[in-house]
Amino acid sequence: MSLTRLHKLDQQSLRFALSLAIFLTMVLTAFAHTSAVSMTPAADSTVSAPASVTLKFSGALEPKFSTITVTSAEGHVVNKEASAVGGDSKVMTVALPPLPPGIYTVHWVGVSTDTHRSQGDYKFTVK
Amino acid sequence: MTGWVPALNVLVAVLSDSSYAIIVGALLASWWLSRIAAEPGLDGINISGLELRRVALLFLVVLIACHLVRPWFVASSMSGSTRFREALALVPTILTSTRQAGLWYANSLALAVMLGARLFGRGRAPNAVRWIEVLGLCVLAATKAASSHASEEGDFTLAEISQMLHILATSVWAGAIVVSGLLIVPRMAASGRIPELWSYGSQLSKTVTWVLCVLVLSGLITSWNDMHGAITTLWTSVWGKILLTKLVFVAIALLLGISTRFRCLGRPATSDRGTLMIKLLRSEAGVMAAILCISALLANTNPGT
Repeated sequence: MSLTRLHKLDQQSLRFALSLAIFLTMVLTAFAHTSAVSMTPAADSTVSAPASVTLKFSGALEPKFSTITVTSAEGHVVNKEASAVGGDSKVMTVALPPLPPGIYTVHWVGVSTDTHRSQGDYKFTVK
Repeated sequence: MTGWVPALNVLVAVLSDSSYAIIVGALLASWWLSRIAAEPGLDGINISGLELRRVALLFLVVLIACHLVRPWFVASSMSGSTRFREALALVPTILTSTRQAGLWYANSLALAVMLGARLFGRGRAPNAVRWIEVLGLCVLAATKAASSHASEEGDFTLAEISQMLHILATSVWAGAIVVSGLLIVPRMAASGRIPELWSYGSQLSKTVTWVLCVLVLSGLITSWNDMHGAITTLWTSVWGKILLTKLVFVAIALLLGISTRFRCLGRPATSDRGTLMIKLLRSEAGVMAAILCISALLANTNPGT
C-alpha cells in the first residue's frame, strides 16, 4: 500500500471517527431539562403540619415567573404569601400557615433561565 | 404553549440562526477569497466581493429584526401565555427583571456596532471592520450560550464556554457550506477558474475539518455536563424523534463533505470534478439548511414531550 493511499485512509478513518463521535455526542446532549428534583415535604408523604414547602430544581430559576401554590383538598389556596426563590437560585420556597390535617396539593411552575417553563403537582398529607 | 406562537417562535429561530450562520459564512468566504487574490499565479475573485457584502448586510438586518421581536417570545415562553397583548405587557418585566435582560442589551450593543461598522466603515478600514464583526459574532454566540441551558450552573463555566464554541463551530460549518455552495463555488466554476476553485475548496475543507474537531470536543464536554441518562427519551418522545431526524441529516452532510474531499479536492483539478463539486456542495448546503431548521425546532421543543 502506497504512503499516499495510507494517508488517504488515515484521513478517511479520522473523518469516520469524527462523524461517529459527533453522532454520539449529539445523541447524548440536550437531555437536560429543568425540573423539581427534591421536595420538602416529599411527594405522597405524611407529615406534621409543615411551616413551608421547599422545592429544589435541577437548574437556576427565574424568580419573577416561578411559583409554588398549595391548595387544600377542597381546592382552596392555603398559602398566604407568595413563593420566593432564595439565595440559591435553584431553590424555591413558600411559607405556610398552620395547616389542619388533610391532603394538600402543591402546584409548581419552574421557569428556567433558558426561558423554558416546566410545571407539575404532587400531594402530601398532614396528620 | 399551543397554537401559532410556537410555530412562529421556531420560524424566528430558524431565521435568526440561519442569518447568523450566513454572516459567519460570508465573512469566511471573503477572507478566503482575499487569500486567493494574494496567492501568486491565481486570480482574485472580485465578482463576489460586493455581493458578499450585500448578503452579509441583508442577513444582519434579518438578525436584528429577529433580535427585536425576541423579548415578546421570551415573555410568551416564560409566562405560558400565547395572547399577544398579555405577552407584550410582560416585555418590560423581561427587559428589567430577568437574566435575559442583560443578555438582550449586550446583543443589542453588538448588533448596533456590527451594523455601524458594516454601513460606515467598509471603505475605510476593511480589516478593522472584519475584526469588529468577528468580535460581534463572538459576543452573540456568548450571549446565546448564556441564555441556554448550559448557563444554569452559572456564567463562565466550562459548560457555557463549551456551548459557545459549539454554536460558533456549527455556524462556521453551516455558514461556510451554504455561502460557498450557493454563492461562491458556482460563480468560480462558471467563470472557469478551476485552480482558484481548488484553492478555495481546500481552505473550506480544512476549516470544516477543524470545526468538526471543535464540535466533537465541545459536544463531549456539554454531554458530560448535561446527560441524565434518559436515553429512552430518544425513541419515546417527539423531541427524541426530531433529534434522530437531525442526526440523519448530519450524517448525510458529513457523507457529502467526505465525498467532496475525496472525489474532488483529493484529485487533480478538472472542470468535470468542478461540476461534481458544485453538485456536492449545493446538496450539502441544502442539507445544512435543513439541519438549521431542525435545530431551531429542537431547541424550542421540550425534551420531556
